[in-house]
Amino acid sequence: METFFLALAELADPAIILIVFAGVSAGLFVGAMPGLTATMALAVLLPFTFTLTPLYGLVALGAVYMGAIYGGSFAAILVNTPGTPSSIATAFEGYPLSKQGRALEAISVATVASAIGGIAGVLFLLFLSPPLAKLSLRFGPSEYFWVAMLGLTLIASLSEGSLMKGLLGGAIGMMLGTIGVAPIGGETRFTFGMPVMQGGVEMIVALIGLFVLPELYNMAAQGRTALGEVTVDSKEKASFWSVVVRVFSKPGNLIRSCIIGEIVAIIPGAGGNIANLVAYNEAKRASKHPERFGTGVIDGLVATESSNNVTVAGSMVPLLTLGIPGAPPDAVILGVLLLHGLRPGIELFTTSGVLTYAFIVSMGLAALAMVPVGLLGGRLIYRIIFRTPYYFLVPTIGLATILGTFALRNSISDVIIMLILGTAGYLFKQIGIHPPPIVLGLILGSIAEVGYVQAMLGGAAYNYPILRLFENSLSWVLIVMVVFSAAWPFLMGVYRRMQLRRGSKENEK
Amino acid sequence: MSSKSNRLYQMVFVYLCLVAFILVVMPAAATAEYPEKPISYIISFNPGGESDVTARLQESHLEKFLGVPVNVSHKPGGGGAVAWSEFQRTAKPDGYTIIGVNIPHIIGQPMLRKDAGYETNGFELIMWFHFTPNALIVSKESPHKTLEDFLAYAKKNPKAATVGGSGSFSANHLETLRMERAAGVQVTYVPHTGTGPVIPALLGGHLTGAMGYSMLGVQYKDQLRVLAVAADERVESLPDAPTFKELGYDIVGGAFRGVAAPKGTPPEIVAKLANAYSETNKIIAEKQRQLGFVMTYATGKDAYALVDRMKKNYEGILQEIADQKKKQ
Amino acid sequence: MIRNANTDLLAGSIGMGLSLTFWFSIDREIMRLSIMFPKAMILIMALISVLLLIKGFMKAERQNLFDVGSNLRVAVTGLFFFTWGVAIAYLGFFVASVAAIFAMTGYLATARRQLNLSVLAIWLFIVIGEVAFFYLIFTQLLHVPLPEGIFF
Repeated sequence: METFFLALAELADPAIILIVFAGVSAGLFVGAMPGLTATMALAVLLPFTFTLTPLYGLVALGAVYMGAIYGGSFAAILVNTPGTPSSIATAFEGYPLSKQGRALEAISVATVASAIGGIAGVLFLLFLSPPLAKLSLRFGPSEYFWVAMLGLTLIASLSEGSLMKGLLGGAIGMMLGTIGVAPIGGETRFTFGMPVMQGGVEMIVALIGLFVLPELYNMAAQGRTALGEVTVDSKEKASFWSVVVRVFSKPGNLIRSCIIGEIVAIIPGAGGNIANLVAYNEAKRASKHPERFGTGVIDGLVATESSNNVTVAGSMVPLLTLGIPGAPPDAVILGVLLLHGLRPGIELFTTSGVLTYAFIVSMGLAALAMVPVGLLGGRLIYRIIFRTPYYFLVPTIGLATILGTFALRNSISDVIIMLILGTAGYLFKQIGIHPPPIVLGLILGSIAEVGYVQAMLGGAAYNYPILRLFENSLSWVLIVMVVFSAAWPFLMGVYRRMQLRRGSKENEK
Repeated sequence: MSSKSNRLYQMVFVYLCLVAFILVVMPAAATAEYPEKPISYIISFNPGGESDVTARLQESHLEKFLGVPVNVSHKPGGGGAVAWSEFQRTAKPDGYTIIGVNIPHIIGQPMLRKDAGYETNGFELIMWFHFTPNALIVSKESPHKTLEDFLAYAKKNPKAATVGGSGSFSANHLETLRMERAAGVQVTYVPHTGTGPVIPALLGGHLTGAMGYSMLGVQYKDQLRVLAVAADERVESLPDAPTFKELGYDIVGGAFRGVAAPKGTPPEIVAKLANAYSETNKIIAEKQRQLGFVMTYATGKDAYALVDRMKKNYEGILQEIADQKKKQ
Repeated sequence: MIRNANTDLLAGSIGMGLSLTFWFSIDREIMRLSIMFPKAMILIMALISVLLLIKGFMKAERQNLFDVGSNLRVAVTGLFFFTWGVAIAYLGFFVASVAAIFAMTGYLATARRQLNLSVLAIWLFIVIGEVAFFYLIFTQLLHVPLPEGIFF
């Protein structure tokens, strides 16, 4: 207890406040740029933290991380391109809102939701670390496989239009993921004779290509952006208090999304990328009007932006307690901890307790700081994007995209791959194969493969190695969820048909 | 008209003088003291990994010894192969581009992959600066308290013992194979996409043991137990962990990390870099030893001798694997 | 503009094409562990493609393709992007980007307004400033080495 209060005292330092605001702003900027991701921002910030004290360095990293995950929503809302992978689903509702002239409202909602999510994550980290850490360890190869399967059932609900085409997209994404070195076996696959293809298709490269480029092509085709001018009515709705009221009026949605964010966050390797998609799906399922989703439903936006910010502090549960990074940015933070001689584990909470608690609480501060920074910055960014003619916007976003892609692995080949995938993505969109299933397939494909093959190896001593997939109780929990999730659309269809029949029968009377 | 053509001739004359001047001055500039501009130090793995952490520790000291900035950049992909193949193809042998190299990666990959894109002998080796010996690790909750316990279990239950490691045909994997042969047991090696994922698998009870690097034993002291280390002598930061040799199994191996220049780099430049790295190594030795690294100082001929020695160590197994593949 | 295209048939054919391409580029010597998952995926992809082809013949979903705005602009934009990407390797990041962005801005602007020399000159100035801004941030502040070409 005492350490906690000492930690709070540490934070009363004006330098900390400055670092938090600067970090959140920088993170916001990086996250908003399609092509620049949170992990990149942290990796780049790393050398600078050497010159700062451990606390300042960690606070800076936490603030940037929090800001970046939030910032991704800006690009998603204003330009239909996720600024970071954790905002993929934000565009589903955010962009239609922009087109209807409700961009400011969307930005305000995203801001408040992100702040709440960030604080929720910090609370989870502070109070529930030990049990959550134990839960995270129970995820072994079989569980990863079933989690991937669960993720794949999302393809069905995320498919705009034809289910078959959505599945095809998912399959294409999985095939793209197999290019390069096999995670098991270490041999190279599908390199078509080019050594550079040993590196495979990096997920961010595909994300940027498949989401950003088609949008740029669309703008080129139409000769304009699709941002609608914000109406006076919408401006009122975008005010801070009305948004807060709106978000809290649906507490179920909020609580559910935060919990989903936390669960996904503690599964090392899944991270924020999937959290927003799962939360969105669940919000859609729980809604009374799921068919409205995709036209600008605020609840969907709340779900995605709150869940992804939970993962910032949430994914640090395994990191701080066990030294296992829950998401890629955590690996950078782990590096910083080790470099300063801080080892994850009990020690971190006892000997270095003041530092650790101060760091954790600072992320909560960062979440709060996002509100003023975001609301002001949001208005500014909106005005800039709205006033900028499309013929400046397209090449400039292209620049950010190319820079971001290149900076990932210092590779021009990645840039070319991104352009090829992007152009293919635009063509695919025309015939009804959309980007989200492809990217989902890419992310989940490797998780599924690794889980499957490792589980099989684990069962090498059995007669039927595949039984290993059905051995653990946690696996069974997941299997039930998979079956339920896959069957849901059919069940809903049957249920609705029954409703209709009952309704028409009553009418006949 | 003539004044215009005069002008033209004047300009051509000045231009030619300039060119001549440059041609004379350039070679002189080139033979000036190396290094004069920043050096690019490429790491073929992701930020945060062992190669990266080491590079960052080295960076500031290298800059002091060489007098120019040393810029670390990352080019991950294919277990290092993407960067190494591009390096051998495009890097200029002028001493301003160098790359981190790893054993056994640069031995195994060209041997086992058709499209690795580079050759083991295609580098001008500067130095091997440290060694992370492999170590057989179990969770503290594991019933196996010593190497003998583990091997006894493995003997009784062939293939049931799962040993995790980073990568396939990597240092971890090859060491596991050597251990199997030396001890006459059969375990199941479970590859992971890096050292990171092995730890939760081990802690969560999804693996019987893991063949990882000694640093893990240091990093996760409270949660893991090191059964044996594949080094010639006990690792300083793990005084309680016996070596395989002590227990009767002649297995020494792990990952060596070093730095190399493109083939054809002038020997004086290589020597200067080797010197800078050696001095840097001495300075960071203390910090690295605490983390579980074993420092080495193999430069020049020793560097190539090391590669040959490790090649011989692994040759048997690698050849077996290559043959197995052809038989399929 | 392609009228009333049978999108199911198109999607199915693309899927089959990809399945065959991947299937026939499988290395004969590759180990079972490394290839079992991709093989399963290729089969699934082929299956879905066949289903789409069947649907294409029976209850085809038809749509107009490429029917929004100017397809010429899209094609030229694409060309600009690819040229830009390749040019970075030869002309260096800075020069290639300034050239590409300037050309693209000018071209795309012809859809909206008249161009004259003074406007273009101002834009060139803005573009150089923009690229320089990002270039400096990335090379000086973030130490990300951007490709240098024949100029710098």
